[in-house]
Amino acid sequence: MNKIFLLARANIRKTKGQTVILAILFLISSMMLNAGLIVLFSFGSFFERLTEELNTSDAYIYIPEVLYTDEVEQYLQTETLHFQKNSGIMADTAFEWKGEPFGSNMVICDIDEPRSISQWKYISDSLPQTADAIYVPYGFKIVGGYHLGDTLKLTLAGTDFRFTVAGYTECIFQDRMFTGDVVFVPGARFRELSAALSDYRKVLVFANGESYAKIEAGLLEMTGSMAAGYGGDLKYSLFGTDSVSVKTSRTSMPAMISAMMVVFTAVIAVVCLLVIRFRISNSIEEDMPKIGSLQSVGYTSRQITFSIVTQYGLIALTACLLGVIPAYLALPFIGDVFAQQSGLYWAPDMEPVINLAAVGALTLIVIAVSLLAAAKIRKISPVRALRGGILTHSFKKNHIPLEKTRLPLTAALSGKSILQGLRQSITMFVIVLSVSFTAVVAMVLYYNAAVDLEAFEKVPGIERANASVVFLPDEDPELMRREILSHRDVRKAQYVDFGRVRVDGEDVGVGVMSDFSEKETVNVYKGIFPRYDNEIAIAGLFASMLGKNIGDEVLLGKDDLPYLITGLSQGMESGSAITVYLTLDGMRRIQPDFTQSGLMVYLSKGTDTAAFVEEMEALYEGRLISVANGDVGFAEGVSAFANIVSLVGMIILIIAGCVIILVLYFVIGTTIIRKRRELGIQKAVGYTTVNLMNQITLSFTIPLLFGGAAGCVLGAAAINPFMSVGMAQMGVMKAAYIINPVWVAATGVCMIVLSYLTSIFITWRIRKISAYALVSE
Amino acid sequence: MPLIVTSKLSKSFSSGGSQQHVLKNLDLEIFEGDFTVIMGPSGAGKTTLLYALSGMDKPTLGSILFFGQEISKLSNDRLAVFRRKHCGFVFQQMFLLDNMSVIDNVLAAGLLVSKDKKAIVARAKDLLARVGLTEQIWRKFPTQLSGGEAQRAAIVRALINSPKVVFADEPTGSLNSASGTAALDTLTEFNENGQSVIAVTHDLKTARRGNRVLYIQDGVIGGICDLGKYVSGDRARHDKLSAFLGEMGW
Repeated sequence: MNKIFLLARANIRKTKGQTVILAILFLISSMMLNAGLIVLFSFGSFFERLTEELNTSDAYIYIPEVLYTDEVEQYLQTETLHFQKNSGIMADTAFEWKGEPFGSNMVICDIDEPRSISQWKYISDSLPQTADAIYVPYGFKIVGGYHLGDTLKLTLAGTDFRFTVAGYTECIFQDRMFTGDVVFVPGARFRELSAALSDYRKVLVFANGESYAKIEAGLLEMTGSMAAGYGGDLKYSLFGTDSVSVKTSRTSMPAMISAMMVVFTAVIAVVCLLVIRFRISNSIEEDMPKIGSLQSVGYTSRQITFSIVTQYGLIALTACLLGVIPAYLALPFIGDVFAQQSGLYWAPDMEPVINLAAVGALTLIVIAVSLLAAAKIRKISPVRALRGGILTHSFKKNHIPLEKTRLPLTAALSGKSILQGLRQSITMFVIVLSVSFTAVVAMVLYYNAAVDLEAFEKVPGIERANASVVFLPDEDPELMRREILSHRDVRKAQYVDFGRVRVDGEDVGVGVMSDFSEKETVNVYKGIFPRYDNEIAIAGLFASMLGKNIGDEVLLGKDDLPYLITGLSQGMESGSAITVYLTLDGMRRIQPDFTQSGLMVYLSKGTDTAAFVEEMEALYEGRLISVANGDVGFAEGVSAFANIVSLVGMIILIIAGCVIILVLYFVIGTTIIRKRRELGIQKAVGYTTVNLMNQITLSFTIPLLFGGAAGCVLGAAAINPFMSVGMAQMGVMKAAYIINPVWVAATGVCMIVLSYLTSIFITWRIRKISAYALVSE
Repeated sequence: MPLIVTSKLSKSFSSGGSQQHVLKNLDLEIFEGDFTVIMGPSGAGKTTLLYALSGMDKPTLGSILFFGQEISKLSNDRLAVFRRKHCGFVFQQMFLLDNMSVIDNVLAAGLLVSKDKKAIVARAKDLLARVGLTEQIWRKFPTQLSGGEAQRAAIVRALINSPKVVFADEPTGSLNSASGTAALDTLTEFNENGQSVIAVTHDLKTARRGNRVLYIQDGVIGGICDLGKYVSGDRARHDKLSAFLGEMGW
């Protein structure tokens, strides 16, 4: 065994540069695989552990205090296994975020109020409690730019209040997009705020037991309130959801990102394995006399084979083990990125089992590939090896005969090289194809998340309007719509309402419109939106759950009225808030008194939405329940998602660039070493370094060009099906990322140019091969 | 007229921290049309001298005038261009390109210089035929040739660009007797037609083909023997060479 290690060590020493490159490639693979697997397996379990640790309830409902009657309490006692009441204030709030003015709902809680379920906890250090202390979600630190001791000015329902950031907290039911940020203040301050904002007091109900949808439906019916704050008045709206929906929205993004990392790791690993196979074949050719010499002194073919396997196994094992370190170093950063979307502080633990599995799998694959590649050593006899070995190339055909070809000499020699080294050209083609594929997928993600967000804006699945206006119930909805529509900056105004209905026994969210053809965010991915009062579109995920498809019927409401499914919808909201779509008439078949209230307003291009909102507030003072700036809320909601994806896209793009440089450095470097005799002869007969550089570079250009082009086409074709699988859990069944052909082509061109420049840079080494060195060897 | 003139030509190699002076202040002249043979014991600097004279390697000091052009200061790429135009090489191991047929090996050198493809193809075929390689052999790859055939193909490659001089490094070193003789006959025949040849050899048979023999020892010229043109079976010429080599301690 010692002998084998000695040989392996000698081989590693001999090829230090190539060993380093291989090690870097494995290090990158191991880093991504470890990080991806840790996120994949650990983030979900972290969420469950945290849910358990904080004794999180099955659902929460924030009920306006004015609506919380004895009847409601009795209902909750009947319908839940157990529930806890806490006090809260929920108001529309303005504050600074990343140094910019920002508006969102906020839920203020009393830090001193005991909780047995749905508890919260501090994250990292906190300051001693003072009268003006406020404890804010972790996102305020990592995204909002707040630090301990900073002043946080909150404008709650139009009144300014000042606080000092005293700590960071987390709780499972923290959701800026839906309920708003949940913050905690000392009891005395809470009571002071509660008195000042009495209209905004909420009873925070945390309940275990039956489904949230059923409880909410019952409460809505009992209180006559409005569901879930889509433009509704905070004072009278119910807010809530269940822990399953929260888990889906919190963990699906990390799951998708980690799955992407694992897939990209697989691509890099395949590239590494191709490179190893290529390297071993070449080293056997180069080292033939050495192999013969070892055989002649008594080494068996098996020992020599094992020394090669040990060499690559050791490189892979060492690099993969080292790759675990940057994976752990990157995880807090990844955790912070996820925290932007989830609001939860994820501090990953050591995961030795995952690490061992990842390192072990990569190393074993390398060993297997090395064994296969080195197997031909068994066929080599000592005498043949000492004489220069088996004929590694048995040229049968003189491709592109110089006598007949019309190609220039350099091109003809390159062509010969390509055709005679077809296996090498195919290896190069596959490598460039794989990396270009990865690069294009990453670029499409980046483009959609950072340049043209149209596709991302459809991800939530909710109608995208610039503003939403809710008038008091005694106003005539159609009259108000026409009034708003007559505004100079309004190009369209239509009602898009939300409610809850029972579909095949399940209580689900419903989106209601008079005419879906006017809907601007078309999130039906199969079929069409309903047009008649007996038609319905349902979320793809929900349809799968029910085992229904387009053309089937579902039963709605208490009377089980049949509705025909006309389309399948998608979007992150489709799992909870908006699961089905009905026309206004269709909705009124089951809720005859359903009224339109949420007027979506679409402004002309270039209109300042904030100014429009202010103008509406002034114009309709006393007639409005609320007017909201849709742009701000939407941008904030989408930006967390877009930021993560654009960051991941950019990182993968950079890694793809690095991988192609390293791989080409490795492959072309190996080729030059293998061909040094041939190059030396050519130099002797008068070829210049530039002649030979062009010849070698050209011979790599064809596989580079075709591989790059094929990778781009495949990447562009595969991104949407690939992402559809990745995002299905999030409710996005048919991803429709924008594939900008110019950007795809530019990525391909960049990869090819990068590859070409790298090959020129590497072939510049040819200048060091002197004809004299060759002949005097 | 001297083809090559060297002045204080020196070449040193560093090895293990110490300097090894292989050529020491060589002043010599090599003439056009000659078959110059460089002989000497192993390690004397014969091959180093050959490659310095041919621009394959650069001297450490001194100058080399090749047809009046100073080549010792040329860059590597300019030396390559110089070699392709003015030099032909015949190596002991032939160094044909394995991935090309015989004729392509020749044309790979020829097309580097000539823009007239038809003419160079015709010349290649003519030369191949002259050295006794049949059309069938032209299409073969070097690994399919015998040693003698490969060396004759290498000679054709060396001659394709009508070089001013053919440099031959142990041209018969890896050939059997018959093949070696055939290769020497080819070189001699071209020399008789005016082609300058400089050959390094250990082999007396090869040395006999030269009209001028330089004996190099410890990096300096130990002696020069002018034999006159080769004539097969010329006993006196043979004896003169033997006496010279004996004098040199061969």
